[in-house]
Amino acid sequence: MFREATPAERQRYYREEWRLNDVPDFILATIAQREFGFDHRGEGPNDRYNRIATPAQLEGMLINTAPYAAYASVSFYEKPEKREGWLGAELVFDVDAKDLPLRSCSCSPGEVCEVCLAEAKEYILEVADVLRDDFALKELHFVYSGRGYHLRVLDEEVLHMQSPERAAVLDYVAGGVVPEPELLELRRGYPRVFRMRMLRLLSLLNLETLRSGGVPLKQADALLNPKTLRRVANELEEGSFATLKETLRSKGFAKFLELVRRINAEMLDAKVTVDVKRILRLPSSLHSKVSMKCVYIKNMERFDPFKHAVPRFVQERG
Amino acid sequence: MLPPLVNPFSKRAQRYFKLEFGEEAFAEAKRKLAGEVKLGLSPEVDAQSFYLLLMSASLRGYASKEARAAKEIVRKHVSSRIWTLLQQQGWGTSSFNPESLVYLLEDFELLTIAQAGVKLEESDTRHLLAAHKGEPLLYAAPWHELLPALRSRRLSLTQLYLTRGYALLTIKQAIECYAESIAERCDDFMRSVDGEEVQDERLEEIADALARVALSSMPAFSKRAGKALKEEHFPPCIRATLAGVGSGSRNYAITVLLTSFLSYARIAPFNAGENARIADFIDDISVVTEEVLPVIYAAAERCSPPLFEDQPLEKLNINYHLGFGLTEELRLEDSGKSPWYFVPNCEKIRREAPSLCSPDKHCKEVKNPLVYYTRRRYAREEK
Ligand SMILES: [Zn+2]
Repeated sequence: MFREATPAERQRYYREEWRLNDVPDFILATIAQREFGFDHRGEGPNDRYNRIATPAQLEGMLINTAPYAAYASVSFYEKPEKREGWLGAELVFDVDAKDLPLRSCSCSPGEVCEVCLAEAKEYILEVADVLRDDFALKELHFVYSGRGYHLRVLDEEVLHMQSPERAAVLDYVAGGVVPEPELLELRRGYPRVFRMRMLRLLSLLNLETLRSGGVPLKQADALLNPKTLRRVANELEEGSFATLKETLRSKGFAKFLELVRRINAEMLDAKVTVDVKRILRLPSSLHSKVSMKCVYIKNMERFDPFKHAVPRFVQERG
Repeated sequence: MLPPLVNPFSKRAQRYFKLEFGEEAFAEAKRKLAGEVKLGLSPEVDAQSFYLLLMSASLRGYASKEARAAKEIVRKHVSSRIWTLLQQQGWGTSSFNPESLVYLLEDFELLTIAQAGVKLEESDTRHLLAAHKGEPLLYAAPWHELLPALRSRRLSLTQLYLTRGYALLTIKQAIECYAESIAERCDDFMRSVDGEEVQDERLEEIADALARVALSSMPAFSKRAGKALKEEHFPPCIRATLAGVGSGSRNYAITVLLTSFLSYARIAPFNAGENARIADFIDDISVVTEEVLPVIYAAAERCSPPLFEDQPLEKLNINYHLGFGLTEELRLEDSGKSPWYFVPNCEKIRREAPSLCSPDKHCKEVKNPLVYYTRRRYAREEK
């Protein structure tokens, strides 16, 4: 796996394995309003401004050309072939396992493995929880992108948002802002999101990271004591920072909050979220660089990329 | 008696829209311009005076300073009118019923927290009261009603209490959000009308008055747009960027650093202030397209590999950083669609692109490349 697919393998994939049924309904239903992009030779999606009028046309296109990669816009247009008459866009969050700022595996930069893919999955599920609980959004769709996950939101109230508001929602769900000091301990609302993000980071922290954030050595060392970490974690769930503040002292605590904010802000690809004209990898298409399928996920809990996103030609490579 | 208008764009107000205006409407428009809130007006005169202000402003273009002044007048007017009405209904006394605000607002979904069925935990109530200086959170609005206030950055989502799709608001925040949603509709209105159809020179008179309001409310420094760029005064990191950058720091150097530096240095070199927009400083987009962008594009071309060759979308990203949103075509009226990124501090540059920073003797005195430039570029004129 993770080896580039040959042109013959691409052809085999689209002729024998790809099914129109694997393209999610939310794309098929709006197909003629979306811009499609194709990468024919692995040089990036430079064939853009395509309007595909019907599902059958998409089918023909993919089977006949077996592209290196296929993309569809998250935005809807009156004239997708000109990218004119913008009608709205899905709200999208993109987590890529290879770009996670902290991972517990030992992947080299640019690589992914079962461990970091699982971490990316867990993270995107947490993002979805916030969108459901705090924003009351319901139309949430998950896609395995080949190296991470896309969360695509289709509720009516998000479709017409512009970039600044998308950036504001992104900050909220990612924990990209340090909460006001007097609100840090709120049981619900944004401070809880920030605390939950912090909680997740606790298990991934190491001395180097803490030092890079300017936490003094002595305090960093004290925090990494397993007993202290456990106490901090329990308290965070309760909404308290007592042990954390005591361990880090006020200066170390401020540095730590800033460090958490910075790591949080790097978890999701912000450009994908704020871009209201973005094209995203088409679910069902082949991610040829790593020979994995981009998969629309119906049951997120049970989804396993190594079972459900491996094309047949890879299984048979042996 | 009908309640007074708090929404000049409501159905009931729009009945009074027309292209000829009587003396009374003009007199009222002038009162609004002066910041007077008069109650007991006929809704017809009232609505028309709002339209008059906006149509006059639209004569100068809907991204003009006049348009922004008109919008600001409407926003403030709506908000103070609501406060006045609430005072009449006992605001500040124990007999005040929070629901009175709910009934007052038109085309805006606002509930009391009791109506929304939101229950706060006691500790949260305590924290929130402290954070809002004793002002209770009385209201709940679906978070998407707040989008105009988020767009204008009057509110920040992470400072609000969000639960089950509702944002909890103090009475002040609720009124601010409402006024902001009305202000945003002013833009749509100005885009849809054409003041010239009215053919009444009194509109020009109002537009001139709006220009005066706009100028007097602008901080003095922001009126000072910059002058032509002079490369000999650029700091070392900018010169290094202009010479072309390798693949590692290309994006940061061009899209973030050079774009912010050149645009501020040319357009708003002196303390532009938060939420600045390019349209606040220039009337002609060619300053961007002919004096700033070509320099950025040339530097991008000198990168190895040339930036746009493998990343053509970076052009959009540059426009985004200039505050025009992710767009291909630059139009002054789109300025403000995204934040206009300010020039990063030296410390940040050293962190993001260490190779660009090789300080000379002037660098020691500054913490930001823009200050380096303005001190040298404008040094003689200051004295
Ligand atoms: Zn890994």
